[in-house]
Amino acid sequence: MILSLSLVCAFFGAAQGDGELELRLEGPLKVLHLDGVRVETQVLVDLAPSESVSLRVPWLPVDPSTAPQLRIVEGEGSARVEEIHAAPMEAPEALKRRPLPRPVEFPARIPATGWWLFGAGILAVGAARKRPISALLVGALFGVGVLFASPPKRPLLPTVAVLEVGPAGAWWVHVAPSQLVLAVGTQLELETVPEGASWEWTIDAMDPARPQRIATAGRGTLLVGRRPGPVISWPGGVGALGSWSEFWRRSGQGEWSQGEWSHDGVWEPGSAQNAPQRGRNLPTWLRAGASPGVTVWLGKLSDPPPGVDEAWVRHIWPAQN
Amino acid sequence: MSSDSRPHHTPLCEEVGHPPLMSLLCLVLSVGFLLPMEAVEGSLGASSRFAWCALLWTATLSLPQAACGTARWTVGLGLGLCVLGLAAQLDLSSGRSASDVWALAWPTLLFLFLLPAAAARAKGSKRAVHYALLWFLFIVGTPLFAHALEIWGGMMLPRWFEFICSASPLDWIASQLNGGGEEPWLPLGVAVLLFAVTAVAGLEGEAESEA
Repeated sequence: MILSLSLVCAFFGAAQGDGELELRLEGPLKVLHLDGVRVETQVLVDLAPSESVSLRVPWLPVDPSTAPQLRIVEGEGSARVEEIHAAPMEAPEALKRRPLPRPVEFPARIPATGWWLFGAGILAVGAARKRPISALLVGALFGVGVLFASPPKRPLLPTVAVLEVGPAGAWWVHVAPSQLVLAVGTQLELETVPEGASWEWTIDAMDPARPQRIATAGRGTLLVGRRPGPVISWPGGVGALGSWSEFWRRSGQGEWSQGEWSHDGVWEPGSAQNAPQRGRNLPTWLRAGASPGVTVWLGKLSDPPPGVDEAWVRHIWPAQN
Repeated sequence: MSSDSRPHHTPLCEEVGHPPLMSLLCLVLSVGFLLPMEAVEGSLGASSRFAWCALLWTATLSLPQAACGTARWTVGLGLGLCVLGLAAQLDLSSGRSASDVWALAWPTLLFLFLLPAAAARAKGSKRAVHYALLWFLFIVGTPLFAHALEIWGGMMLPRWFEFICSASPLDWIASQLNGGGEEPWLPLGVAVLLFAVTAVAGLEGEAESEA
């Protein structure tokens, strides 16, 4: 069975009091509307007459006390709400207030292969200049060669995950400029930067056992998803995260407590830490939000988890009175 | 017909020629558009690099050619195609769709073939004057004049003048810098017209010289 389901949400405000609907859909059914929700919600399915599927979809009610209304727009099948689940746990306010990671959109660049081919093309045209038609053909050949021999690389729009570890627990903060692939079964709070920008939620249920949820927003919009992070006991369980390709720390006391960061470079969990030393500056978006006077560890994981390009860890230790 | 008024073009297979000097300058300038430098990326923004390069190369290669010159436009175009391949690669990398790049590329390639070929056909004959006049009127003169009137003079252009302006291939390419949606048929018609005028006149001249 090939089934694709898209849930389109025009999101005009921060999600509050969200719920999750467990829907039972029976074919034939193609389009289903959810009424009584804060945003217009449309479910697109492609169910044959004898097919049925149970799906969980986010529900953003206008009034939490009102039951959702299902309106079938196209199809003769049926849809019913099996269950309404409570809204997933929200991220701690302290985490929300902290500055978010900002993936940088690097401008597109021509790869080295392209430049080499271009240089070779110029030389070849120069060599063939005494036979003008040959020069033209050589130029065309290298022009096409530059285009196809060095496949265009999309601008680097890193999907970044930051593991926030602190008194509130551990939370992964996933940030993507325009698209975020959500892990199945995660409790996710999705918001947009700038706030209120529209986004679209697609549930690809080709494999009903593992529907893939993909949040997509317009260009220039950041999607930020938060979900509880891995259960780790810090620093005892730090080894589970693997090695760190960059490591900074700031002490809660002494010389290195007032904005000075020690750069330790590569750090293998469990190995001894060197004496504090100045080095490379850490990314600004990770620096902000950590009040002076508390111990902070920051680092970049050598092996990011699946679905992200970069993974950072930020641990703000509880302030010691 | 006097010898001065006869067509003065040499066969393309002849072993003479070098790229027009202007095209070497154009090569340097257009490569400058593609350099990974903040100054370039900041000033050009998200505009199409292919359109920038096409603008330069179309203007350069369509220039009326000197009667005594031995420069070969095909060599210049060969250089230009290398740059345009690089610029198209950068546009695709910047997120432009292949169809958008192609929609800009195919009229540009036609311009780059028809206009320099017309200029070469007209070189060293009476048609050179005709070509130069038409080139000035339809290729560069009208768009520049319109730009001057609009930007510096603050004038509203009459509709007929805008129409003539929109017939310029350079004006069309410039409108594509930030993804304009105009169809290229009118400027393509002008390019074909220029090519046809010089080609027909060239055939007549050859027939007369044979007679």
